[in-house]
Amino acid sequence: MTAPVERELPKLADPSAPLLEVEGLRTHFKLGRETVYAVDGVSFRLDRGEALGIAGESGCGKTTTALSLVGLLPSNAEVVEGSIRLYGIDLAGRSETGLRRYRWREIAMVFQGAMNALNPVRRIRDQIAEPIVQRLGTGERDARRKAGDLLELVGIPRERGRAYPHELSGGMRQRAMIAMALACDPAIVIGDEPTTALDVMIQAQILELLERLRAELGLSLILITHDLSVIAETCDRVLIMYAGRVAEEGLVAEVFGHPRHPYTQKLLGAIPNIHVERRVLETIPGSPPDLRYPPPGCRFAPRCPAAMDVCRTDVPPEVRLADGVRVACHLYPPGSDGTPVVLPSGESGAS
Amino acid sequence: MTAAAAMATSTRRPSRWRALGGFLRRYARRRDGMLGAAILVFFGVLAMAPELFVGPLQTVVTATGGRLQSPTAEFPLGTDHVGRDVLNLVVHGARVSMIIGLLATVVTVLIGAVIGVVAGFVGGRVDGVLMRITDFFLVLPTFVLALILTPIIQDLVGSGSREILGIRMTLIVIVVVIGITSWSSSARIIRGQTLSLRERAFVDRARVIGAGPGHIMLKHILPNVMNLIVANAVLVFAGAVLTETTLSFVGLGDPFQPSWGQLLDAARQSGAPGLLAWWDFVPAGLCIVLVVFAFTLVGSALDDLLNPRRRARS
Amino acid sequence: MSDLADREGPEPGQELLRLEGLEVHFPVRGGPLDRLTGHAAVVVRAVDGVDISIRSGEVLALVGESGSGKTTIGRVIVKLTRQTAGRIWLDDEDVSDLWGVRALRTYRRRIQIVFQDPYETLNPRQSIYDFVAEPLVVNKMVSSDQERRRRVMDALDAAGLRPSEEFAARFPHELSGGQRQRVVIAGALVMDPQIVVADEPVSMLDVSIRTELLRLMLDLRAERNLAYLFITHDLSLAWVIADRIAVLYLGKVMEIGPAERVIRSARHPYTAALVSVSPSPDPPKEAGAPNRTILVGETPDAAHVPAGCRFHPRCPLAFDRCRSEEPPLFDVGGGQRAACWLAEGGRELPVLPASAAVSADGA
Repeated sequence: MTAPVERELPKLADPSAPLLEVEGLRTHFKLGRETVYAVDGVSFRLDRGEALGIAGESGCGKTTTALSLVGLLPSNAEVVEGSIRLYGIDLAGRSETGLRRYRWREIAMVFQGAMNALNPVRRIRDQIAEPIVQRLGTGERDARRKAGDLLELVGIPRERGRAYPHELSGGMRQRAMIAMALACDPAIVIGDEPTTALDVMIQAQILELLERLRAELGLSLILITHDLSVIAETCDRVLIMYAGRVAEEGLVAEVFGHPRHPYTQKLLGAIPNIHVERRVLETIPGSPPDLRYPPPGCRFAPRCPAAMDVCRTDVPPEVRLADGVRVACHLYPPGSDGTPVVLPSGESGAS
Repeated sequence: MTAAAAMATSTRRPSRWRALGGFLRRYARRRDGMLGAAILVFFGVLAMAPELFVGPLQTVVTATGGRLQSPTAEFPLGTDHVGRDVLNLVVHGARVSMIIGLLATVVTVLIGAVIGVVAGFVGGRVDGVLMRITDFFLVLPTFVLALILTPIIQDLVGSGSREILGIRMTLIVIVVVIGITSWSSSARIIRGQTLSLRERAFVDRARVIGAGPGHIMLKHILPNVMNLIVANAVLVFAGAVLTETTLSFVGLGDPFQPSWGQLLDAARQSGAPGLLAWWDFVPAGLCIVLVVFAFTLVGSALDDLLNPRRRARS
Repeated sequence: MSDLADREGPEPGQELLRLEGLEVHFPVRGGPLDRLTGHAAVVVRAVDGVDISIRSGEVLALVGESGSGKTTIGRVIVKLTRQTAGRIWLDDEDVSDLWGVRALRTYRRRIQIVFQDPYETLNPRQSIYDFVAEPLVVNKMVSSDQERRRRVMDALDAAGLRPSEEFAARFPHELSGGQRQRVVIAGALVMDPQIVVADEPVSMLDVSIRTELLRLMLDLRAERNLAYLFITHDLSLAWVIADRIAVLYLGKVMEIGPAERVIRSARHPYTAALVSVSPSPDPPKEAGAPNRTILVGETPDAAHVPAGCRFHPRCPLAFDRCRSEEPPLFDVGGGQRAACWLAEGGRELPVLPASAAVSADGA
């Protein structure tokens, strides 16, 4: 869909490798004496110009995954296993210095809650110019000019660069954050709940902006959100996470059109859709597992209406089906033809 | 909700005792807080039953030692200028200093909390008036005010040997004076916290169900400023001990119920420093420093522990 | 438990609460210089003339973006914020000037609120029992401890927190978000109100938990003939739960009517635009952009309300009259009303252009 803009690849890059390939990522937190298995075996791939949505509810590990990619994990977390290959270069477990060439220059992030990520006592323009100066070594004046260019690119009039964060509206702040992420012309932008706190009209504006930027700059996008509708409207592929693992992954049209994993089905069913008849909304009884003591076997089994005995003991293998969808569920064992299993209807009592 | 927070669906049986136990356990892990607590417990025990350790308070009449004798086996801390056992005096001094400190703190914190909560919650003109009064007291040099007030009140009350709860009138006066001069900073701090609490959703909810301002202040504001009050009280205590010490040092104390400050004053007057009779004033001074230090340790540990932002949100 | 679609309550009854010409204006005091030079104080017109009625047993959704005034209206109804103009009627009794703890005692029994943040609505130091019992205590509504206990347990039970004795003994930090919100609902129910103002009651909960809470609310509506004023920014949510929807913009009602009509045949351009940009989880349509009408700019500051129709600067269908005259709410039939000159005479809206809006308003 997008013609990749020719970019200068980092020295160690392997031009034939995929843009981003994550394999078997495990990121664990230390809470006191206990370990939280926040991300426990996540793999996916991002190609040039692609938009991948990572979806899941709170506690599923999607934000932790994103932070692992840019090396911004809190001090009590670490990537214990797995690889994060950018152009074939493994970034996992690299030190701050080792990441310097790549963070912001190849992968940048738009954080959740723009107000928290912006320095309240510095002008917007200066905050956008900062990474340009620091990482690209550009002079201050040139950097500020480039910052102005970026502001215009995201739809903020150049003059408003002199404003402080609190003088901007929520939507404008989010645009400023996007401008900041684009400062060093990255190949990949990760958006962590970029539109969650915004009104629906502003959300539509921001999403449209991201689409336009993808087309004009050949950006690749990873969109992290709990809002499946947003992913449906903007992403090419989607990765559904549950309790630190991948439940289902594939093209949006496939996964949303005929979801296979029971969690995906239930999640899709729980979203109100204004464009169809008023209908039953799904509920998923119970709550996600405590990731300090994850259940053996499939982590969704305690809440799954189709759970079988094997689900409680064996971790379901990830199986790639004919239409390219990857699913981790015992209902679709290796060799399965991939026909979606319709969930037994009838409510399980809530509460 | 983060991964960490997603775990808060435990089914533990709750109870305030459990919460208290948890708090004490966290406190026990802090070396600074434990050191401070140990020192305070030590002096607290001395203060409660001095006679258990050193017998009754020695007076000029019952003094048995020679004048300003350096420490010996019989008098581990030597004697003062009238022959009293310094150890005896210092241990008894703990009681006066600590009790005065405690009472003064209660008075200070009580006034400060009431004014702080009411001013912060009611707002408007009431807040304005109360804060002007508070600022007035805040700006006055505490100690100067204490210096001026103490003799005046002592005169008014009469310095006879009337006692309340075993404390002589003169000391009560000191308690009152410390209270009057120190409440204003407590009030300011508590008012600040009240102002932010007032905007929170659970206060709104209390209003919507029909709770009056009194109920809200008592049931919602107060419990949530309690941590601040406690942390503040600890520091006020330290200040009170110091203030009492200084007042005594300048002669406004009660020579019949010697506090540490009294002892320092007596030592100065008898010329002990000049005679290099260090045992006469160093012990009392050391005790004061230790107690105040202990309070700051405890205060800082409490402040850290009770800070709601530290406690992981479930 | 039946589905949401089956949860139609009894036919909405008679009118319980009515707001007439409600205004909430906040003066923003200028500095001392402004007063000297005679500058008029800036006024934030959060609610700027709203007429709304709530009937017993109905779910009326107040939908709007930030700055629309929807939360302020909710606060005025529960008497947390005072209106600066307009009247409020409860059962044909004028309660506009009813103020003060004692005077509001009866009023408050009939109208309660559920706030958005279940983590903030509960006092961390209050046990669940105390929280739910508090309305009874404060209003001296029961004579004995036993009676109070029974009512608290009944309320917890009705909110789906079973076994109620166990939940009553707990503290907020031991409960999940969904459970806390149930506690908040129990706290609102214990006084047996007729109207519950729900201000974004599920927006802070996970998607899969939301449905449970919504079902609970609708079950309670059916059982107790409760009316809800459901305040939300999510039009899709209103679509699923509401009987009637009122769309607010910058302090005024733009459109109001039965949910089916307002969503499916919107007569106000703002409503139509909102519907068009509401995301859906359906797989994307075939090549070609979906028909989204993305408006330019953002909602203006409530201190600087545009002249004429307040929506006209952003309206893709605006014409001359819109810039100078503010349209009233026109009746377009079927209980639906829209404040738009295009709706005058019951006309239908022309198809909205799909404007490609990218630049943000520089204001």
